Amino acid sequence: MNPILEAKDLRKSFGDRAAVDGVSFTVGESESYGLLGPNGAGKTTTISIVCGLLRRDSGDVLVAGQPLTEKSVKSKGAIGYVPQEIALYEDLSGVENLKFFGRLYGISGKELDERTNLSLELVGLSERGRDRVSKYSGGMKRRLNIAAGLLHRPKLLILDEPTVGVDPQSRNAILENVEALKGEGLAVLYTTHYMEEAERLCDRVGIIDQGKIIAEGTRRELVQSLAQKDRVSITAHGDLEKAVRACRELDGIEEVTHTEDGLELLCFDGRRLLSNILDTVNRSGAEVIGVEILEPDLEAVFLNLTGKALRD
Amino acid sequence: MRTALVIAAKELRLRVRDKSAIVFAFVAPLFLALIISFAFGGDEGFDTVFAVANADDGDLGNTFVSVLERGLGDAVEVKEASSEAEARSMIEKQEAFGAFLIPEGFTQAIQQGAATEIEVIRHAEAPISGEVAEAFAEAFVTEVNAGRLAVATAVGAGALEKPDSPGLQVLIERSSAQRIPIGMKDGRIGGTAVNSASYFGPAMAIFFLSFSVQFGTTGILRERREGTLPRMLASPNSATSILAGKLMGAFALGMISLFVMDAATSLLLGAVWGPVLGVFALGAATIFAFLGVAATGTTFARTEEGAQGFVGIVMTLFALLGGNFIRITDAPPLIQTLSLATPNGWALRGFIDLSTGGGIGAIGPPMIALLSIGLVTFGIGAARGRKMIKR
Repeated sequence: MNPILEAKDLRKSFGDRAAVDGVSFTVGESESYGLLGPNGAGKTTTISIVCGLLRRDSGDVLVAGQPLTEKSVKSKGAIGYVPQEIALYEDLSGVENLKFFGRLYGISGKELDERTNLSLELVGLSERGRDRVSKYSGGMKRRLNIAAGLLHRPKLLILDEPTVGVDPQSRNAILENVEALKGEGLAVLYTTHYMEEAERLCDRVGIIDQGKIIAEGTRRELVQSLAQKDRVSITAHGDLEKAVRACRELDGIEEVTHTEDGLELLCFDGRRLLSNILDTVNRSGAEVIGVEILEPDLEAVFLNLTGKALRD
Repeated sequence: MRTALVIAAKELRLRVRDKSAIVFAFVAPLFLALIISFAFGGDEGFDTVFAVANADDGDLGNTFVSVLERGLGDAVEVKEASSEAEARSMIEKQEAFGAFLIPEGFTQAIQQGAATEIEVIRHAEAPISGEVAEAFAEAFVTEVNAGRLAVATAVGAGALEKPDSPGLQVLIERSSAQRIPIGMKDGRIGGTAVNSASYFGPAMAIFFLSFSVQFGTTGILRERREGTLPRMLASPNSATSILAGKLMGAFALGMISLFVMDAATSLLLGAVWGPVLGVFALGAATIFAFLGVAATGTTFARTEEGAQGFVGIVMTLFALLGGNFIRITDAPPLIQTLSLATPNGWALRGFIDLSTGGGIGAIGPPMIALLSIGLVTFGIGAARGRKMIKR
């Protein structure tokens, strides 16, 4: 997978405080990469450097193989930036906003009209495109904010906490938009302090705290690094004692207990073992009614690494 | 350039939809120009100071001075000048707003029927005083002409011997209608006269220009806060072209505002602005200077509100010193000098020159001053502004 973005040893200080302290990561083509960390961890500063909005003290940024400097035209054109704020003009309509930002990327004429319509369609605002943004709801503004970053068909979409302060319905709509873009092969760099969003959207996650990436990998890799076991709860009828005994014989199962309405297993990588477990329980003469896997999550990873919660 | 034009067009569109910008750029200056022009162009209370340089050693010169002192009551203060030069100097220093020069041998010339004249000097920017001085001198001359000629003629015709002769009465009447050669010479000192509408039309346009163009610079702080500036900076365009676009938008709004004022005050108040090309050049230089001042002021603030407050105070101070609210010629000498440190003072001088027929050549000094102010302040603003945009 060719990297669309390479950030190498980025450093930025404000006075004595190091806001970004040696951050390195790559985002591949069609990959979605999440920067997960609490407020003030250095996510926005990192993104601002990557977009060329902030001068870095040191380090390199390559976008589609091109170095990003203050005067980069090619590398900047490959990025679609969606800032944390709703960066739109309230007194312009949705169409006027999109056309304005499209023109800044050199798009004009019929092509601009077509892309504007497509972008509005993508975020479900086709029917409100002629209305002024001041008439939009908060969620609609957020969606238009994303559309403005997509209009020029970037290779990499950078979203800086796009769901902050958004109602659950709009939040879900935004996440669906991002998932759809991911599905179309767009590379995404996504910052958030919501663990669920990182788990849902990102192929790989970099956990950032105090300006440093303290862990990086797929969700599974990060969770496994905790060395914490999954808890598999099975609700079942029938000969549960026999099922417990049979499960204890399975490879990878650390502990099996009989519960009031079924059995509970502790193991590493419960999802991988699940089909084997269910087969064993069925063959033991028990009838499985329900299954639940409780796995350690990225919140637990962060807690384990920093000793504090993501929302602290 | 294309990017700058795109941004300038967006700026104009936003300003047109912003009611406060419309009020600042068009409604308020026109409204105030109307009010002030009516206020200063109507029947205001009148008093003035005249200088008299009486070089005559006969009676008529002294009579003129005494009639002048008594004849116009408290409205006129008369100051005697020892010479023509002193009288002219008093006008230049605005110690007097009209002067009468009575030449040596004035009385004798009249008695001998020779040509002579009373010269009236007017201050160019005190037109009412000038009119009064001229009217007074004319009345005096007419009176002297009629009275003395009639008497001289009658005496010459033997009136003392035959006072009841009907022929003598006809002769007196005919003689009264003739004029001995005494005349008036009108002069001006202190530039050229301009009426209230032609002064306060540009004055109000300049004052509100200083506010309306600052949207272009203080708006940068708002766009930074709202995220639209970072979004523009993330596009493949230089920060310079983005800033140029914002300033071009403000410049265009300023020029439109200026020409709307030009047309409106010309049509409604009869203001004279002078040649379009001159108004365009001077307006452009004025806006350039204001944008420079606003750009520098903006870099000293952290928020748009702070910048508007700070720049607003500076612009108001400039307006007070620069003659936007009172005719600069009516201001104390210190203020007149200080006005030259403001873009407003230079701009007004330029517009008055254009209004009074000075032509484009006459606005050279104001143009140079305004462009210099703009260049210096833009230099400071650009040096400080780079840090503001990219930290």
